[in-house]
Amino acid sequence: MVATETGSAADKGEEPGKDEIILDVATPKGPWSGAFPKTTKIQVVIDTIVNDLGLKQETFQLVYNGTPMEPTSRTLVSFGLEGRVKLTLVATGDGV
Amino acid sequence: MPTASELLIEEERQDLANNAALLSWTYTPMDAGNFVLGVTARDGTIFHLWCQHDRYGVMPPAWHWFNPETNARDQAGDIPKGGLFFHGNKVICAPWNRLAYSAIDSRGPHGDWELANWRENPKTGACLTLSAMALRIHCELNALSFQGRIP
Repeated sequence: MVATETGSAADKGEEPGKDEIILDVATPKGPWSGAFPKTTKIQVVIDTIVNDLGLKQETFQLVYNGTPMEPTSRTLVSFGLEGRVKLTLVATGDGV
Repeated sequence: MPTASELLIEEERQDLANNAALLSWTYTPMDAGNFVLGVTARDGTIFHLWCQHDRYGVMPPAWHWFNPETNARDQAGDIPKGGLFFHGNKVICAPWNRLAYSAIDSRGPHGDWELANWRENPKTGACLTLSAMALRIHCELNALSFQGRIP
């Protein structure tokens, strides 16, 4: 568990404030939690986690219920997120 | 005393176990070089993977599809189809899977990838930890391109 964008609600396991969303994110380096204003853009969330965890500067996707949260210029609330939400941070890459 | 490499792998396994707990997956350690992961797919069924990670670092881990009832690996009914990496040869086709290399496994489609340079392969991207690989597999199992199981 790490420091958050807007305060300590995520660290303390508290309920989110009226205008924030708490994200519990499964990442390439284990779970990460943080509270963000509802209007935060997805790319800002990705950049915050990637920088916080010192991940390789590659392309990552935030995924919610199997759906990539794109375009990343959209805000958290525009995907219908509220309260406390589980997401995954997925490294993109090719195969086959 | 464990080596630095062993400590790093143990740390990655713990990260994965913590992710599994967050996402309601199952994580079952088998021994120092193997674990089993159970991941839910878009159709609500669970796919199991047997991960063999001996010599991890020097080479990528081997991600086998697994049946916990029969202990069989890589059998048709336990393997997904669709997705970007679920190859018709019944292996996850990505440079971070040892089984994708024809030099290692006869099903491996790639004789053109260098095993020792798997981290530098552009197609590896940021899939550089056990958790990153597992999250990528989970993503493919829950993508619209997922098509169920190989009959």
